[in-house]
Amino acid sequence: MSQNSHQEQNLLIPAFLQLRGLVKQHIDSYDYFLTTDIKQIVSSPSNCCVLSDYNPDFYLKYKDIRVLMPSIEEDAVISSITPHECRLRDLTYAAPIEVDIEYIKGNKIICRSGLEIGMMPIMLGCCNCVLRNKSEEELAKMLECPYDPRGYFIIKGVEKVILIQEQASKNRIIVEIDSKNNVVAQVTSSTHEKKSRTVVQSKGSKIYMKHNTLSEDIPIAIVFKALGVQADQEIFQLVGTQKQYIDALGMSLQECSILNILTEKQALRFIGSKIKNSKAAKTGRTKIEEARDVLATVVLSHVPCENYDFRAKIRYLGIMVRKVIDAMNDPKKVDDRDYYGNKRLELAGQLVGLLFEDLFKRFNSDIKKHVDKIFSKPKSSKGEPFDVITAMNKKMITEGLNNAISTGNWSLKRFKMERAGVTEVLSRLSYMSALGMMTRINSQFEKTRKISGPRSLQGSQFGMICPSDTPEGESCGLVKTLALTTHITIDQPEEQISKLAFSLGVEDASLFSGDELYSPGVFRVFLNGQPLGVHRDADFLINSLREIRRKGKISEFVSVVKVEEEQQIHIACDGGRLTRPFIIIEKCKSKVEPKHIKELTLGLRNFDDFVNEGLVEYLDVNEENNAVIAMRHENISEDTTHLEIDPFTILGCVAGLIPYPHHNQSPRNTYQCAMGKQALGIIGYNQFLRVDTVLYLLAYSQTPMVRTKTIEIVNYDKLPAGHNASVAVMSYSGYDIEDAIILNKASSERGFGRSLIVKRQNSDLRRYNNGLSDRLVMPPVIHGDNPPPSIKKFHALDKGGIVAVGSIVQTGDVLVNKETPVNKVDDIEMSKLTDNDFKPSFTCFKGPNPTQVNRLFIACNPEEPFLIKTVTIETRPPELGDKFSSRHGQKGVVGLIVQQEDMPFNEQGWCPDMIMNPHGFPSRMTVGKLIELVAGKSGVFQGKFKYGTAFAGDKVIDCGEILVKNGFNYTGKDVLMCGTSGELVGAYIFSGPLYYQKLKHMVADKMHARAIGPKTALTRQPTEGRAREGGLRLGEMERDCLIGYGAASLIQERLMYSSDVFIASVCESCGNLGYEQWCQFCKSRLNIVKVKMPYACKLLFQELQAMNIRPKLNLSSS
Amino acid sequence: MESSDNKKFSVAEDETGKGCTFAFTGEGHTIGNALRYLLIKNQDVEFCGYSVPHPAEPVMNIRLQTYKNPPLETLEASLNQLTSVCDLLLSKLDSKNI
Amino acid sequence: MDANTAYLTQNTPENVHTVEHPLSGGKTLEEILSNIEMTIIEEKEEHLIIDLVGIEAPIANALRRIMLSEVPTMAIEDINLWQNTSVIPDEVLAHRIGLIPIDADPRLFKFKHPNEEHSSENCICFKLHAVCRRLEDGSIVGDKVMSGDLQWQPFPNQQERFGHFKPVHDDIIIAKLGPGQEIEAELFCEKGIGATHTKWSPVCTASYRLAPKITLKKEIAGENAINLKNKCPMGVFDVKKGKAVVKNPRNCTSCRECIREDDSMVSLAKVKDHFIFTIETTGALSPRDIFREAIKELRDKAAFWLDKINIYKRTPKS
Repeated sequence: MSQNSHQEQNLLIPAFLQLRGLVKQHIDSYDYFLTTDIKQIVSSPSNCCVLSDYNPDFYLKYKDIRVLMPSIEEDAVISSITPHECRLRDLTYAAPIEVDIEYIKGNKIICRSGLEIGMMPIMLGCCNCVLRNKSEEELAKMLECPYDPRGYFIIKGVEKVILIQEQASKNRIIVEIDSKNNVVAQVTSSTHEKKSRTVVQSKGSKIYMKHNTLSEDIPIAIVFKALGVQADQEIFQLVGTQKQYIDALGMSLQECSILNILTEKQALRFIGSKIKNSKAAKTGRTKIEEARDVLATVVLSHVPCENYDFRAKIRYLGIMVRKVIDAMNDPKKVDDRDYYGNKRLELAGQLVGLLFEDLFKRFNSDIKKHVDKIFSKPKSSKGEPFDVITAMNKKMITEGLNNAISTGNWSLKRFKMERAGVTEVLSRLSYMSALGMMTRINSQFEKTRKISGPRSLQGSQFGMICPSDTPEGESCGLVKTLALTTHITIDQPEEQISKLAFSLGVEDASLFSGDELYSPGVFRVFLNGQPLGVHRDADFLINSLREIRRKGKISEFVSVVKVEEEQQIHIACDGGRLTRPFIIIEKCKSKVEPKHIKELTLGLRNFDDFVNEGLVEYLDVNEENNAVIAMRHENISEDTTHLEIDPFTILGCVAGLIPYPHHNQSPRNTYQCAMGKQALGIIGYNQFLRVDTVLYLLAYSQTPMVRTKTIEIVNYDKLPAGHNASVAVMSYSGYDIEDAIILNKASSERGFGRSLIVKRQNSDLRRYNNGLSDRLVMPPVIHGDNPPPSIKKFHALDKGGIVAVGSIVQTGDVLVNKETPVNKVDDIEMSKLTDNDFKPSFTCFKGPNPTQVNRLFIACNPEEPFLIKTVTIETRPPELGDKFSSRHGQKGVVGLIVQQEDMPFNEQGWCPDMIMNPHGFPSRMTVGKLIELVAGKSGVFQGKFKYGTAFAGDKVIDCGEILVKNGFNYTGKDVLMCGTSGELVGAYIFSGPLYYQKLKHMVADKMHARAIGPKTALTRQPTEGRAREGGLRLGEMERDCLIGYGAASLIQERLMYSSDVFIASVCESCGNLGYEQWCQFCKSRLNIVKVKMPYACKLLFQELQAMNIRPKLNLSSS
Repeated sequence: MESSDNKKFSVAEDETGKGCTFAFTGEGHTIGNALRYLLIKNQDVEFCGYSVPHPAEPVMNIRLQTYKNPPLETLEASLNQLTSVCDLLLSKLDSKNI
Repeated sequence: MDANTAYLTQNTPENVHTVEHPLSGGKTLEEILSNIEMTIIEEKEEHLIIDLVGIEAPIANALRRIMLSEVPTMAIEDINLWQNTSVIPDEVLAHRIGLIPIDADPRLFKFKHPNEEHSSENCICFKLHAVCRRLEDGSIVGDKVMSGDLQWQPFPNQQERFGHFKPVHDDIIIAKLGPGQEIEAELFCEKGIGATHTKWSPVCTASYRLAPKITLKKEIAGENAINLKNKCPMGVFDVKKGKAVVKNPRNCTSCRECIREDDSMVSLAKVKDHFIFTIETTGALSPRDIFREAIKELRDKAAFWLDKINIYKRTPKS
């Protein structure tokens, strides 16, 4: 293939993302939940009907369930809603859940269809969302931004994201070494009904099984016996008949005879006696029956077991034991816990599915309770027969879902699972922060534990997870970000795959004795971790399955993996696996040919066509181990099976903004990933229609001069956050030390770094139980030029009592002149109300600077009858101390703003917007920034955007040549003249455009000082924090300095006189604290003296007294 | 000049009478550097330097030490020279007929 | 080394500072005054290139600085915004309007004191009323608000005295409107200087460069001469009779391409008292006027401080 055409192959990536969007994984999983999973939940045998214990005739059966389009019911009118309306009116974007039911009423069977049982929050962009498949114009009509990632929920007007949760995969055997150096094979079984963990463990030379329901470890031989394996020989066959297995099992088998357990019954009785919280006594079952039940339903619950047919479980247990013995003999067989093939990602669909099932079960049990209550009473023949619909509580499901999503607390009763922090408020600080949040992966590990394993980058994460984008500090490495092309699978039905496998020659394992399973040359086939059977020609099976997949006959996300050393074939079609697309290489030739790319550019083909025609395929982490993947075209060799579409896709969307990241020191890219999310910019085309609490915007945001492919793919070029600043790298004035930057005053006056702060303040008129409600009041009339502040603060109000749009307000000015009734409880006759029955409770403006009122929203929703939202916009030019950063993790504050004439200038008359100190470079090693400057400068003269795509991008040497052609030095260094002296600067200055971001940390929001101010009630010490106008703390270390210096009086002044000095009355005779010259202990006022002490000290004494400890003060005069 | 009210001139004189620091409030490098330059050219000047002590404060200082004449007079002379340089430039500019 | 020459070497400019003191080889004031030369190289409506030979950096720089920030112009300062339903927030709109250059001779106006009223003496008033409408045939009119939409509202007898005022350019987009959106505002221009806000700066930029002095250290002939000619992107060198010559030294942009190699035979230098000024006007004043005003401003400054010194001398010392 020519140079040209394989540059074009990366056109596949935009095609891929165009089809999928960046948050396709969320939307896909939610679509699956709404269309398939929810139906499966309702039709599963444990959920599909409600019966009564008291009336055997009664039943309620769910025949179907569906989720409709989002709507809202107001005053009995149902109307459809758009997401933006929900944001504005603080509504929940949810759709009714309808069921078709069949039930008994009286003695008739009644069918009802379209019965609403609750409201389901709808993910934006999912199949039930009004935004699905809408054109830009249609979206604009619904006030939506076409580049909004979607994939989040709107609950009571707040945008909530269900973060991707990382977990160890379920239903897979993981072999580990525990802290006591024992080999442990464990399986977390997870089905819709149950979750349990089964452990097979070596202890000394013996092997035991461990389970939560069992109080003790059970010798493995006893478990086998209990499961119906009678002969020891059979046990050997199940595990393996080679010498090492027999040796290892010998001791364990011996244990049986020591305990004298030889039959199945004895074994079951033994296990039965070890069951925790035995219910045998209650239910009247024998221990044997109970043990058998536990083995059938709880132990290895994911392995099917019908009618106590334990054969599948026996085989599974045999495999586990074999793995333990293997690992005992060869430590290399121990699994790597952090290997990403053993991880599954849980998405919104699965999480909401779990929650919905739990709520649905509770919903049904509530119905059952109600029904039982009715039927347990003697039946009254009169009146209407009981209708079960009246027992349905619509609010339960609605509120259960809403509460979970808005608080992030996922509590599943049936798994006894409590998880917090599953959802987060979608950060709208910038477009990138929203996008970054949608691709974020949360891990379940504890943040406090100091373990490096789960935090470090694992080789198997390559290409799936962004190596740069992770936070610093405690959650470093635990919170990850998806790489650009990663796709997370959703569940696929297993039946089709297993049928296919059987017809391709897999032989059912149950037909074989254990011995034959482990004979060499025979590959054991697993489907989603479950043994399916064996196959004698592994390559045939694998190649046929892959061929079928490439033909599109089975889902493209099915993975087939051969594990040679284990003689196993793993087929996986479960959800939550990470996959990514590759170009298929056959016989050293890429299956994607130039003509395909041409068709792609002409729009005749999309990415799915490439997949369906078998030119491109998805591989998951495990299948990558079977592939030989060439990074670039020139690396293709005879063994190559796949080709990367483009290397830059190993980065995520946030790291993708960095130009030339491959030239930077790695931590710098990580820093930029954190800062890119704080950069002010454009957050969406509908930004001025939104009513977020705070929105930081940039007035004149520019698309970067030096772009990357990712920037174009994620539409950062349309919603940018920063400026192309002309930068001179030189030291200037000394106000640029420690990464500070010098800003050109003229540039800032022309709009550089000018930001808009859009703030919203709510005030709602409440209605109280006694029928009264808050009211709006006309403001007092302001006379004269200089009214007192108590009156002046009403200046911005209209006659209606609400602030006038367009007026300028300052801190403390009234926005909504509201009054609240004094009495909110008792019934008061409306006509007798006077002004005295109301007290003012106006809403004041908070904010550092004078600000303009931009908009007012007056709305209502079912909870708030009268909602007033005031939106103010403040324009802020950059000032001293505002934080700026380039795209290379180099942040700095403005150290000085200088006049244009003081700035150095070059021969063309150019002068910089910004001066950066060169000391920022040597230790940071951000070579990418240097290249960005040269590339950007050459792009300016060429009139073209330059590309700094990772592992590619325009070459420095070419950029240098362009500079020379335009009369500049090839290094990017210019002859500059000093603005103050007018002479030549004694060095050539590296200067040109660099993309600079203004970060949200601005001085105006932070500066704070106080002389006197409020104190806390309890300790009488000054309050803390800027928001409470708090004092500045003289802390322990500062105190230590003063002690060291011997400044005793200063300490006393700072810590007592200026803080919480208190004059206490102390009784000299008894040493107790008195009160107002009276000692209650001595019943006397004779020996009272006044002592100055900190109020906190007095408080301590009193608290000690309350605990029956008497602090005694012995006074002496100095 | 936009507003001349906030422009002030003050002098800190040495005891010898040969050294002075002149403070020009409301001025910067423009006049400071030009004046310093002209003062340097004066044969009677022993030392001359100027500074803007802090960029946030609109003050410019000129330090002047002379051999013979009082510094203030030297300063005046230089200001006069500056006027004449300007006059010369103006006449040159207006004499051109291009 | 010549005191009046700065050398551009491969890695660093050398001898960049002006030698000032007469005893160290600097020029005396008399020498300077008698040798000043001024040549206009190019004069267009919008820019002026002028050579100033004989003066030294401090004076040249003072002129440059004054042109940037102290020559007054008129710019819109106060806005009464009656209506703004466009997508641009009020303050951003006001900021944009403020930056529009106004074609008005500032010398005709006085500075406005903060507590003074707008008057014909200190103010030019414009009106802006832009409405975007969808016509019956579906076409949209008035979707672009341009600087040309500013309507001059003369104060009493302003028209008779000054003639007509308008923005320099008619085609600056102030805002874009959608159908039904409207902007209505009253704009007041005031006189001011660039130091206060850059909108009052009369120039896009005013800067100078030092005249290049390019010499060949040795005779360069043949292939080397052609190479040298091709090397320079600005066409400074030429080949005449097989030998390299410096043809257009003024074209040099100091790219140092000719001295990129270590053994270069070219010497790049700058004449430290030859300033090539480039003055680009925003349009209110002609570039030549700006230059003249700058010189006057410098002279007035000197005169002003002479005045202050006189007052100081007359005030009794405590």
